[in-house]
Amino acid sequence: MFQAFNRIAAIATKELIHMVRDRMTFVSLLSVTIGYVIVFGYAINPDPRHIPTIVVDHDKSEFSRLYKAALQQSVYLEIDQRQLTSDQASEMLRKAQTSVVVEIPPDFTRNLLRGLPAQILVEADATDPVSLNGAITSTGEVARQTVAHLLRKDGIEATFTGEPKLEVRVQRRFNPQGEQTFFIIPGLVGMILNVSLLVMTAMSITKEKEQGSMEFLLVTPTEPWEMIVGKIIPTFLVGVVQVSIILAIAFLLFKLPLTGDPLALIALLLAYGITTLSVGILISSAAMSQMQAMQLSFFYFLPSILLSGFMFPYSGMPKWAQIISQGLPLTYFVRGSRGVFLKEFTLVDMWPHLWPIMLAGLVFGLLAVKSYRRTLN
Amino acid sequence: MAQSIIEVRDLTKTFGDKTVVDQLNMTIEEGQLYGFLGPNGSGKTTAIRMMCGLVPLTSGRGTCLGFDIATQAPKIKPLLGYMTQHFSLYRDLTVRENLQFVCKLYGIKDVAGRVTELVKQFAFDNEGRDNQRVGTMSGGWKQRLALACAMAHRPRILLLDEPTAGVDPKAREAFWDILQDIASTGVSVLVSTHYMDEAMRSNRIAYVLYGRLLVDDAPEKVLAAAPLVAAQVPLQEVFRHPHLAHDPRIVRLSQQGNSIRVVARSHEDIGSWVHDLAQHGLHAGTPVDIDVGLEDVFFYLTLQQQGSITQF
Repeated sequence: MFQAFNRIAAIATKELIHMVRDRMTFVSLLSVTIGYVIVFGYAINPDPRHIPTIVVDHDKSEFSRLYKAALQQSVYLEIDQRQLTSDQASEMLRKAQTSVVVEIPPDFTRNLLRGLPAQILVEADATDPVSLNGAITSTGEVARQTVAHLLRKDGIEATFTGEPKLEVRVQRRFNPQGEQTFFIIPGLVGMILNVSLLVMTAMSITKEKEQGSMEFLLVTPTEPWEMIVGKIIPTFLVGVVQVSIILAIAFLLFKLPLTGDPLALIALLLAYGITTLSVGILISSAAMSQMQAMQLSFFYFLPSILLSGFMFPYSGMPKWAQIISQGLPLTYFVRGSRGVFLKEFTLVDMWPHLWPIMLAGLVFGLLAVKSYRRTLN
Repeated sequence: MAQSIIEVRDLTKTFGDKTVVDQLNMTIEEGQLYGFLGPNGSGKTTAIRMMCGLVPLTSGRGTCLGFDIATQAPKIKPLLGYMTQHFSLYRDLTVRENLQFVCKLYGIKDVAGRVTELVKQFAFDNEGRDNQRVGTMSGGWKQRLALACAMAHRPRILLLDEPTAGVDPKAREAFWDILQDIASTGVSVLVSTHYMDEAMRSNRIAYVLYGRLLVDDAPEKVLAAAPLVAAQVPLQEVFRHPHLAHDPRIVRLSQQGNSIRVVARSHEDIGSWVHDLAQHGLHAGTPVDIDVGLEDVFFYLTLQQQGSITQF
């Protein structure tokens, strides 16, 4: 028994020495762990506040002014101060430039005072069906309080025989049934591509280094870009197969609609796929072993999963986390993908989400070619 | 005079404050089989890597096939064959697939034809080895395949970095037969090795120590010029007497079964040393003269460089 303990201790000690001596892995593991815990601890909030909201006021009454002012006080909402039309607001909702649109019809106050049903229309971007619940509830709650306050203040309350007939009609747009799968799957396509393409590419060049075959390849007339493209093509084909499988399952099993232009989806998938492959090549150029490549890939995944809006709402993040999020290609993919599946995105609608991904791909691609070592030094 | 294929002058490489290759001068001629010798860490691999553009030069200059090794590596690569210490093969590919891959990298037009030629030349067609996965092959066959890969594009110079390390004697001998065949066709071959029997099969040998070139000559001339003699002395247990084993008259001492092999600068030194053994109660038989080998010469040179005579 004592000898077994000695052997276990010897193995554990040896493993610890390996870890500590692999400086890059050890230091990055510790620093990234600490950094990530702090960053994600602050950044992730599944019940977001300050949801971008537009109030379209056709009533222009004391109620609508008070209501807007009261909404502004709600922690759940961030009211856009611009005067926008219904169409403008609706388009902004479609393009994910706002999340909630509150519309007060022209006859709201008149109907209210006459004891007729007075409606407030709340349109919410239901591509993320859960995270806007607080904001939606808040619009109704604030409306009821404002009406009560107004009636009390003007002494009209006594003239009512019953309750004021306030109706808050909530329209969950783009995902009326509030299907959680419709929220997850468009982002999941990007996430799966992220994991598989990145790891496969990152491993492929480091494998050559570890096997020792890189030394031979460097003596052949093979140029860095030839090597990189040659490495990317098979992985890209694997990505195509994967996407086909994911889409088949999404359409057939989960009944996910494709409301937008299929070309916009293809453009998004291509741009995102190529960018992910470039990141993979960059990682494999930097890493000296497959283990390091794996770790660097993981460090890239984690912020992508947590800060891209794939799992946790973008609007729930503090400003600084939103800035980080805007540096991640998956953020744009998730928005573009949800747009094309659920919000009738055309190629033109897709462009604002497409070019940042393409730019990232270009930057990562150039860095990968530049950092690819032509010598063993 | 034969044309020089590789010519390096004052080739130097430092890593930090450590000089790995120190002002190396070498000339490899056309069709020459050049043995590159030296202990582990002597700078052989780094020197070979510098010659093929894998490692940048710290200082010095050199040409390979008329191209500057520091600035014209892309022009040298298509003309040069390289074999690494670890063979650089793909274990999950077959012999043919490995050869096809390399042929395509070098832009060979008739890939199928060249692969078939190589399969025949290196005898992979025996017992269907050409379709065998490399991972399942013995070290000797892997070594042979690595050489075939290095030869795929018919290079004019082959740089082989310890190609026979870890391979059995029969396979090593067969490998050197092939190398001599290749050299006879006009291809120059620079081959680093630890094995002295292999060095004797070279046209010329270079011996490096601590990055510096100590010997550069034909192997038979190196032996002829060696200021050493060797003898076999029937004796055991001399190593229990450290002062005898480390006697300054003796260059090299090794136990070989029931006798010891002694290398010294002269027969007189051996005679007087054997005589002294009796005073310590050791009864040696009559010394028998034997040949001095290259290893003895290099051992002696190494000790001289280290500034003292010590036993390894």
